Amino acid sequence: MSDEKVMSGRSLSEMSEKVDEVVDDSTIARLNHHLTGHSDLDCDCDCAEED
Amino acid sequence: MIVPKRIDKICGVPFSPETRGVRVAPLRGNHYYAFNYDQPSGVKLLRGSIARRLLRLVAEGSGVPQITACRTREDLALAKHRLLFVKEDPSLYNPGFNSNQKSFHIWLHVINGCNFRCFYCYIPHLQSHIDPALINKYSMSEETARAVIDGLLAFCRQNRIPRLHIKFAGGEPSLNLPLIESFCKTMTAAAGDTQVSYGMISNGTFSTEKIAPILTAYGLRISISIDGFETTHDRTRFLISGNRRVGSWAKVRGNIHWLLANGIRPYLLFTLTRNNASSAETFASWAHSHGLGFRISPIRLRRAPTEQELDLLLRCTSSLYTRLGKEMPTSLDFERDARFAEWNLQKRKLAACGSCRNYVAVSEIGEIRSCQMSDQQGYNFRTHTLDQALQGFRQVPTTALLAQPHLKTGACTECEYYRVCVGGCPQHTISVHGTSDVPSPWCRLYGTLMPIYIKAKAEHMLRQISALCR
Repeated sequence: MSDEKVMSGRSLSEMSEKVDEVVDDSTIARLNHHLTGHSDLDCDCDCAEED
Repeated sequence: MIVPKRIDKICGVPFSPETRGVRVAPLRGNHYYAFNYDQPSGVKLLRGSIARRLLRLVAEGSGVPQITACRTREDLALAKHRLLFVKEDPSLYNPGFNSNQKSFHIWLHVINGCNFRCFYCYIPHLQSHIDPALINKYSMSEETARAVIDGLLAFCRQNRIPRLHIKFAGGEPSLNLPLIESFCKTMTAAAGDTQVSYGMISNGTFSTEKIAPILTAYGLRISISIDGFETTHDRTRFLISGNRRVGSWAKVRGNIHWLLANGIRPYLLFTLTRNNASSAETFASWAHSHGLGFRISPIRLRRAPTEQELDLLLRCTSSLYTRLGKEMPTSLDFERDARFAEWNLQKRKLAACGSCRNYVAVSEIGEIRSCQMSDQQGYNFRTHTLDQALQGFRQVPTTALLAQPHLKTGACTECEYYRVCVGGCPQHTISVHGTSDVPSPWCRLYGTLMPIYIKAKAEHMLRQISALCR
């Protein structure tokens, strides 16, 4: 499933029906704008993550 | 000092002597989850033909499944998600490390004093329970602040580093808010093309009326240390009034509520000890019910934990993360809002942190140190450039492996879990074992918790996707 398809409401129902797709954090982030799906997690910790 | 080379000389048998590779396991219903310990790129949820294909590939041998070429939709999806190595197109699997440095981070000790005296504090030579009348004595001067600003901006420009993050710390940085405000004002005005952001690590006892304008004016993100819930927090974090200990929970909780009511969402830092481990679940529920994220870090003392401490922390963290997988609100980000130590499942790491590469600490007198736990001397923004300090760190034995973590060869690097935990906090390991090229003192905790944490993350993802598709 392409990134663009995941964005659409129709694809949401498709995704719930389909049995053979891969879901990762970026999929969830695109569906839920409150979540970032970022790889840089150090923003507010005491130590800084490597680039 | 003689340092044992093998993991089994330090903490029993290695956690996972298996070949580093892809793991796939059932979750619920017809869902599976997969994670690649060789090339971490996040947890993946699978089902249907793709799950069946990966299960078959993994059953054929250990490590990372390999094929010559992608000929099916299933193989293409697995390769795209880095769960399958395709010999004809290896770039799909290994994107390599980005050699362009994007950001630099500074832990800035604006004051070497604190109104608390937490028993585990790792800041070298910190003046604790300081007299408020002596704040200036322990604070960074305006002259030193200017030297730091000039040095940092020159470094970023010369090395074409676009982003600089300043983390105000101490001691307790909010004891000297005027200096922080002045620093932000001067830095922001001088930054030019360098994108500067700010953060602060506080014990949460600040005056909200005084701190809020600074947070707002400079977009300064604030992290607050909370070590337990109510009484367990108060046992570690307290003020001294006369001869009496006055716990800080009520004040900190009140300040957090004030910040939330004024549109500011702090991030919480929880140092896990044997004194507060049993309250971690209560704390987590409280934080998440307020939409607050946190990071949990095992305590970093200059000695190895006892077996009893390891057992207790392991029991409490295993229970906590298992519960979070099942109950943590789906509106929150599992890895950010329930972070553990320096783990990041999203990418392959060389080291737990960027110390000596894209991260240094600066003392209140301008000394440039490998990190906030270090008391090394030798470089100062008043007399050296940051480039000189970083070059020096590569040559000094105690920091050479921090600056060049790819040179590590110890037993730790053979562990299946190495590319997630990467040996834990290197400065902590140095402080206990004298080198960062051996397993962390918390190795047994890390190795046992990691599969539990990954499964919990998968459980949370499944609940998220179910909620979003409802």
